[in-house]
Amino acid sequence: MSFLSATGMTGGYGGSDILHDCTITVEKGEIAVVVGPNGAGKSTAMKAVFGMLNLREGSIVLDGKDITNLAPQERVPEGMGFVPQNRNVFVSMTVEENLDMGAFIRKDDKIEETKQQIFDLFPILGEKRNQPAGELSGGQRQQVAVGRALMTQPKLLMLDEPTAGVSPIVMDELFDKIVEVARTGVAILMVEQNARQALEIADHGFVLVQGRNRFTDTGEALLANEEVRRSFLGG
Amino acid sequence: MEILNALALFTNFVVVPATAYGAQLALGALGVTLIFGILRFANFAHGELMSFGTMITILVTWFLQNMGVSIAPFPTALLALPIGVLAAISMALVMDRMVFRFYRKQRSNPIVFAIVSVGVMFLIAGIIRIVIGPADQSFADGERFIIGAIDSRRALGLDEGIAIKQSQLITVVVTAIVVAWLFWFLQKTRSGKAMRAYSDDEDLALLSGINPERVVMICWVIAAALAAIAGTLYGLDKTYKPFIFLQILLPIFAATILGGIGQPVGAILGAFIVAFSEVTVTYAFKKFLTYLGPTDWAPDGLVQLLSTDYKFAVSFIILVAVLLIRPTGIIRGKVI
Amino acid sequence: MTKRVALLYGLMCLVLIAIGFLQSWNVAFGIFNLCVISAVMALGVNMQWGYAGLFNVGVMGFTALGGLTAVLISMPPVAEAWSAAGGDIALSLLSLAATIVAVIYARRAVPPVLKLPVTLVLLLAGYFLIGVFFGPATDAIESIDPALSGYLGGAGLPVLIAWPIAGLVAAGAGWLIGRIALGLRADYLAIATLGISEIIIAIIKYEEWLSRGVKNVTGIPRPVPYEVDLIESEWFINLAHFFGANEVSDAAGLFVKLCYAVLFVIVLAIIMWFAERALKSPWGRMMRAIRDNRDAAAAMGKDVKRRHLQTFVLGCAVCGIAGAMLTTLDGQLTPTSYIPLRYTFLIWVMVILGGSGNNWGSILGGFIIWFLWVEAEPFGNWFMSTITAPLGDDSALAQHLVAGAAYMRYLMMGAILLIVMRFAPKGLIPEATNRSTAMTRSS
Repeated sequence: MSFLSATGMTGGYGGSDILHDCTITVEKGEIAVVVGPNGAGKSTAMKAVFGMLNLREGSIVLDGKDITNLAPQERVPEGMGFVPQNRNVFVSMTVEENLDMGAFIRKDDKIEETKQQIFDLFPILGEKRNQPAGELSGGQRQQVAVGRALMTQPKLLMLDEPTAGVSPIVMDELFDKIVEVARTGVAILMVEQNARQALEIADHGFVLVQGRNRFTDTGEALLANEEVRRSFLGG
Repeated sequence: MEILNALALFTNFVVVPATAYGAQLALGALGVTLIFGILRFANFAHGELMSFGTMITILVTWFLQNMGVSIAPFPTALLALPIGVLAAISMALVMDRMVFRFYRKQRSNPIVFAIVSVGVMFLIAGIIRIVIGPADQSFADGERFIIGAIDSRRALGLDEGIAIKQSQLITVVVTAIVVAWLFWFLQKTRSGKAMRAYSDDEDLALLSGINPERVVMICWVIAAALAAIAGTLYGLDKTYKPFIFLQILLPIFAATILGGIGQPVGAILGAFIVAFSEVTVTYAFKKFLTYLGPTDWAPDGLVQLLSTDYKFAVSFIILVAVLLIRPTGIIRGKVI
Repeated sequence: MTKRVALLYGLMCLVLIAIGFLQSWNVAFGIFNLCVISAVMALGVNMQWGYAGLFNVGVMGFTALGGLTAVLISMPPVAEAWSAAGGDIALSLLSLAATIVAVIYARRAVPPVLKLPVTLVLLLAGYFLIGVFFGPATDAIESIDPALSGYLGGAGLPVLIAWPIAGLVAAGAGWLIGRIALGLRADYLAIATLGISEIIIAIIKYEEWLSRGVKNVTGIPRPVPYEVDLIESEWFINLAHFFGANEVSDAAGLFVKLCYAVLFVIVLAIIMWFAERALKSPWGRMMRAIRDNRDAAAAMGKDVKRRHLQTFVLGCAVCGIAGAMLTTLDGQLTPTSYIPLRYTFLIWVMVILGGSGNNWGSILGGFIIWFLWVEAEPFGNWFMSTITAPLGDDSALAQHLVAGAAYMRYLMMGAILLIVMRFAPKGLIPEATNRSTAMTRSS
């Protein structure tokens, strides 16, 4: 049984279904990447796992617990962290306050420790801890967003297109950071547009087309797969 | 010597009153900016909320005065103020629960909230007029002046005195305390930061586990308390007229928008700018210029930019100017 | 018209007829006339809100402008004032023109950086220059027979002409304000319009040379006969007896009210006809498309701002006409009577109750709400007397409550607005077309 098992997901935003019997699994400490063409339903699948979509069919099981019927806010205490694609930081609040907000639901007194861990992981955040998040560059903001999500010490971290709109160098940096986070034992589920670079760091990859699983394999295998290369990776 | 006289004149008729007025506007604007920032609508009932809190304070003051309770030289109203604050808070929470919450759940257009706040305004206005009537009420007691005109003239050795009313001093002191507390609350406490986060980005705040209803409740509590205090201070300083509170909405809204919606520091800045502008523009500079100019020269007219009747035209002009030139306000707040 | 609409209108008629029998026909028609005027105002506001989704909280200002225009058109000119101040006024106008021209040319001549400061400096200079001539002018005007006159008077034209001209004046003011404020979000527009109406009222209250200010202008000419004349004319006395009227003075009052009623209904009918034509025309459909989805309409190339401006101006014009009608009916201009609760917010209750976007609804709303507003006072008195009866005659509380009975109307209006917005947001007569999505936020 995988750490996260989202199986048979079928549903949409209202009228018609966007996802059709979609399955995504993630193992502990590994990086799973969801790729596919535009409109494939990647972000929708992510939102479904987080509970922001009403699923007609399917179930979500995290660490053995069925969380299919929980609201998004209820899944956070269960160990899910979510980094939305945009509007993922409080722009008027400082970096440190953003991290504080990330830890809002925590009632223990180890919050400062976790904050220090985040600063160790993302040194630039420590440098700019008192700057309003809105003043940071795109890549730094994404780091704040990821840091914010990590403040609840999630077991599964979900990122919706974390490198959208950042330069290639920043993208590499971000991916490096994501690998470091995975090494601390956090499972990572990531939706990405930059399929090739994402698959390079992925342990497992899910290629979605029109809301269905098309290819499911390890990152290496997908990269080597002729059909995948031709269709999504630009040959 | 003449320059000093001129300065004393200016201080007495412009600086002192404008500072007190600015403080009163600041308390009102802080409440409005919180509601704008967190509840995201223009609350047309805010003036009546101020009036309501003040009314209860007045009633309790009369009661205390009749019972012979006094804290002379301070006005008895200060004792009654906490009750007025509680009353305003209760009214605000009841109104929220019975009126605004429904539309919040429906995620209605901000215009709907504004229209509905007009209905609330009618209701509270009716209650106030039935309970206390539409006439002016005075309720101030205690020492009127801290420094009277005659005494200060003697003390300063000038022809012009600087009179400071006790109500003006109380206004400034109370405002300073309240503002300091508010900033501490917003910057240092968990609830305060949660409110700022909610104001910044509602969805992300929900995602972080912030309870929206709690944030809304705290917002109303603070805004209502500020409204009651502002209204009472204004009433102590001038008089209590039930219908003045619709007129005072305009400078308060102007101050809020000028300072930047949802920005407490902006609200205070905006309030003082509006207050000083209003007082300065309608001040008759004749005597002032007479002091400054050569001995025999005196201007013909009053040298008033605008007649005092057009006081709030000043706030309106400021408002329009801000909306045209820099709608986000001085401190970049939310906009349109 | 559907059955429902006919039923509601029928009910309203019945109520008025009942008043006629129970209280008096004079009272009934008095209420009717004000109902019609309220209906006109509601139509104006409905054009702005229902067609275009504009929240105009400054209705009072445009109504007051209409009233002022009635004075300025129909009152006789005060020759003395003109001769005393005419020269200075001419110079002030010249100064104003010079300032405007200077500002326009300066803005074109200077580099963009300096535009704003130069404009401000020129405006300030112009203000002082105009003041040099204007001050003595107004002083002169106001000093001429202040008890009875003290102002410029009007143009001495027939009062009925004043009504459409009032519409034009209000339209002009609406155009100015619209140019400035219409780009704003709805609740900012509300605040801006609130401000402008306060300023208009202040001008009417304090510029005595123009409007006598708080001294009021009385004796405004009317388009219908005077009661005193009627009582003395034979043909009327015969007419009154023919209808079995006992008191000729009562009959005279009724006759005058009937004349007004006819005039007002004609005006209402004309405006209603225009409003309905506009609503059903391609222009009207486009307006509602813009209201329902502004971004989509803009993306399709519709000039949203211009359309909004057109609607805003039209609505203001209608309110101006209503203001002129009201002042004519009153026979006097009383600046202090313009209070926002009565002239702005009450109209809003009318529109919301009647059904935003529906003209028939607005008229009905105007009738119902005005009726309730007027009858609320006797009802309130009755209510308070009844519930305080057990307290005894000399209870201070009872006396206090009875004295405040008049304000029950505020409670009533607030309750009506809230109840309608909550349980029947589309109003009594919903908009004819299917979806009124102005009420929900588009996600």
